[in-house]
Amino acid sequence: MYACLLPARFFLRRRITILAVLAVALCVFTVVVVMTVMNGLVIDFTAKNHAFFSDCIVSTDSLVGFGLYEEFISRLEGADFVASAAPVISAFGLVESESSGKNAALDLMGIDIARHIKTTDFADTLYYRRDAPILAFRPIYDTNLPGCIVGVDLLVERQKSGQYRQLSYLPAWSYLVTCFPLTPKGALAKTGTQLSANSRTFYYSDNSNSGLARIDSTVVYLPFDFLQSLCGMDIAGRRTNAIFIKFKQGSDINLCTDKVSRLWQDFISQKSDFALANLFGTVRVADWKTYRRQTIAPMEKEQTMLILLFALVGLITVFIIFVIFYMIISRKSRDIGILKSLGVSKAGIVRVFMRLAFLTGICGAAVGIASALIFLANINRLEGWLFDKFGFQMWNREIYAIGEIPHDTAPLLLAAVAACAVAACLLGALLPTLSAAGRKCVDVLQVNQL
Amino acid sequence: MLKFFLALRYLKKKKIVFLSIVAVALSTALLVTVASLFTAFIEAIESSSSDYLGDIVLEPPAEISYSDELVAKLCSSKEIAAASVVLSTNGLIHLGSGNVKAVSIWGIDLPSRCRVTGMKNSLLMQKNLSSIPEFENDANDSDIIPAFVGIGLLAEPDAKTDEYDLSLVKAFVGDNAIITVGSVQSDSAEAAMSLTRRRKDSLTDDSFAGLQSRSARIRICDVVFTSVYDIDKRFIFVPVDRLAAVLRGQTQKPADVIHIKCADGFSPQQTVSVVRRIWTDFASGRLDWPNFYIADTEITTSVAKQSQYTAELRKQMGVLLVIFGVISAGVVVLVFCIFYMIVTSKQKDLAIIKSIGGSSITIASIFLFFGLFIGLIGASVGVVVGFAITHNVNTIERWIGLLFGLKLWSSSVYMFSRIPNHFNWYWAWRFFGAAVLASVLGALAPAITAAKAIPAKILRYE
Repeated sequence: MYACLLPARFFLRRRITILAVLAVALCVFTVVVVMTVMNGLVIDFTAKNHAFFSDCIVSTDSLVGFGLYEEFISRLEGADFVASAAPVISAFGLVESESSGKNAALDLMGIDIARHIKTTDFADTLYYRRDAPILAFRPIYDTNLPGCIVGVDLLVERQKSGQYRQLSYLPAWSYLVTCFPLTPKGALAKTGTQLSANSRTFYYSDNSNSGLARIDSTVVYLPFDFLQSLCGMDIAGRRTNAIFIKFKQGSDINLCTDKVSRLWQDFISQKSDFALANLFGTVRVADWKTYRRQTIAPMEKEQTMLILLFALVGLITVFIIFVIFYMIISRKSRDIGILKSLGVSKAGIVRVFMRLAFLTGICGAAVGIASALIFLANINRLEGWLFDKFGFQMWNREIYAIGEIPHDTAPLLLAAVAACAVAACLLGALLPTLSAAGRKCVDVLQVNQL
Repeated sequence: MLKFFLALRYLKKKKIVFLSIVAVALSTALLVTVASLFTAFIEAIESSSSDYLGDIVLEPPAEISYSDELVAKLCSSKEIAAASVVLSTNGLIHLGSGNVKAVSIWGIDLPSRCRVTGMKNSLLMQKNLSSIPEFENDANDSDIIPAFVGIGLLAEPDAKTDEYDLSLVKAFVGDNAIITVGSVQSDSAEAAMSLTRRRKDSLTDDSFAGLQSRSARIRICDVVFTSVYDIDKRFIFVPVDRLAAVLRGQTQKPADVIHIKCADGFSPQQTVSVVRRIWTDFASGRLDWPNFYIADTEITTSVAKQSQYTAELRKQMGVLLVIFGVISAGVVVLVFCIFYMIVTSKQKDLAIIKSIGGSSITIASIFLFFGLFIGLIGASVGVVVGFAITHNVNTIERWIGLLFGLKLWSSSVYMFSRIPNHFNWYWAWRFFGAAVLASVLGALAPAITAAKAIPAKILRYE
């Protein structure tokens, strides 16, 4: 009974424990807020990548691409775990505005819109044709013209609030797109310096806001067949760079990716006599996360670094708990002596003070988490107020592709932080508690010690 | 004397005090390191900007002709050491089998560019020459344009070491490649200029004829390695007159940017007004531009050109420092607790000092000096640790990579091939001061409690 009553009594009576609770709460508050925001950014970024690149990608880095993709897509569509698949061409192109004359060397992405919107969430990224994405390459002002979809950051100004200043009408802008047509061997298809590139005019039909800054600021989307022709990927057999694959809902992505990989291996072994079979050598099959590892990994690394830094700072909290417990125990030496003289064991003393540490950790974590939740619930309102009053933004939305500051807390994170807080308290209290347990009542209760 | 003696004695005798020293050192080291690495990164951006663009950038709203005359006028001013023209465009490069990249192509005047920027130092093959580097023309075919190509266009840095295979890269020197650029054909420089003016003014004009792409063969005569990934990955440099011939079909020294280096003793901020005066005279007199067009010219320091980005970085550094600073404020609590404990256990000593004539201020001073010592020692250790970490951050990063297989720094993500590791003494002194202040602050309340000790009560026999 004493092992329950005494910790509660010490906790309520000793004002110094408030200091310990506050120190823990402050640390918990900071960690929860920062990790929630950081986690939110990472989760948002990975989710956007997933939405853009589908579940699995069969691709090659070579701009020459690989052939027989339609045949392989038919096989994929016959598999019971595949919902849809779409070919995608990636190339570099020179894009010149025929109205302003400005030019830029950009990434081109050739997509078969009908299959692409089934395979990815591309339709949700469109502005003018969101309700009829199948018509995304048909400019509203003249549906017979070949359209192009432009990454939103290439054309539309982003305001400080983070909103894009979209025009209410679709302007009739045209772009001359130039590409190097490559033979299956990678050589230029057209000889002579004057004639080595293919050009074609496309008309602005929509813009795409995928939420991925690098993509929205560098990619122009063209109809698959047109880009295939511009890049010479229709010479000696039609070719593509990638196939995006969406698995049926509820499928295990890793498992299904392995199945696609096996399907691909079977396919290329059957097609070993194909004229362009050598191009299959550079093709790899990867799930979306592996495919985008180079982009996602740095954010995850930064998250890990931040956790390490907080762990370092958390050490100070352990020190504080240590000192406070040292203080409490040194003031309670007579109580310890009396308890021992009444027959309480060493383990009993340890239980009393470890429970006090546990109580401190739990209360600190609860206060820290509660205040962090309140703060996070109002974080965007607070930022809006700071922006209105002082022009301060946590992230300048003109530079960073961030919308709202993430504020959805993960229960797992809260549980982990609370557990760490309690563990830090137990760790900090351990040494003073052991020293208390080691005291002898005859020493502590000597008259000259009282 | 007694104050110092007792403060030092407590420092030596009370082992728990070392905990507060460690805490102060840890917080100081963390804050100093974060601030130094951030500021070093910002400085590296600003310095690479100066290395690459010179001190001042003059960017007219349209291409200008007779740029050589403008450069001569600028160079005749005592405030300006050198000026160099740039004609820029975008294009594609075909570097070999299936190897096509998107590029930015700059037409440059190499001798003047070497005077304005550190271009020579970034050329792999010619950086050690005593003479000015040059574009080597192909002796067999004068139609081939000599070019310097960014190292990132020729190879990718190793995923583990983040270093380029220089022997592989150097093997490209002497190879031919093909570029394609957007071109506007016109008969005269003025016509081309007026066309460019019209192009830059409007986004929604009707289409105009004459826009086409043109290709040209280039010969890689050197490789540019600036250690700034975005430059190395994207840029090709060719002689300005050759690029002008490809773009416009004429060689009237057109330019769309002028990079300027200030003379020794003149700051870029001061010199901007001089450049604006010379530019205004030139544009109105020689180019016959209207005033509103001249006023539309952007003349700014290269550091200011990066200001939006660097301001964001500074803001993020501030936020991070505030977060760590708030948690580090726990040091005050720690010092308070330790001192309170010492004061409690040393009540009798304090009472004796008071009973032999020590004043309350003397007693309080003992603990304030004690706090000061802890602050000084902890902050000094923190600054030293912070300096060691910052200075050796690249070695530490390499060791982490070797031990855990974790590559923390990559030039493709963080722009530079090495972590900028310049230690920032300004922030170090600030945090040193803050740490000392925090320690004294933590000692304040216990010092007051100690000063209030009443010897008659404490030294009573019962």
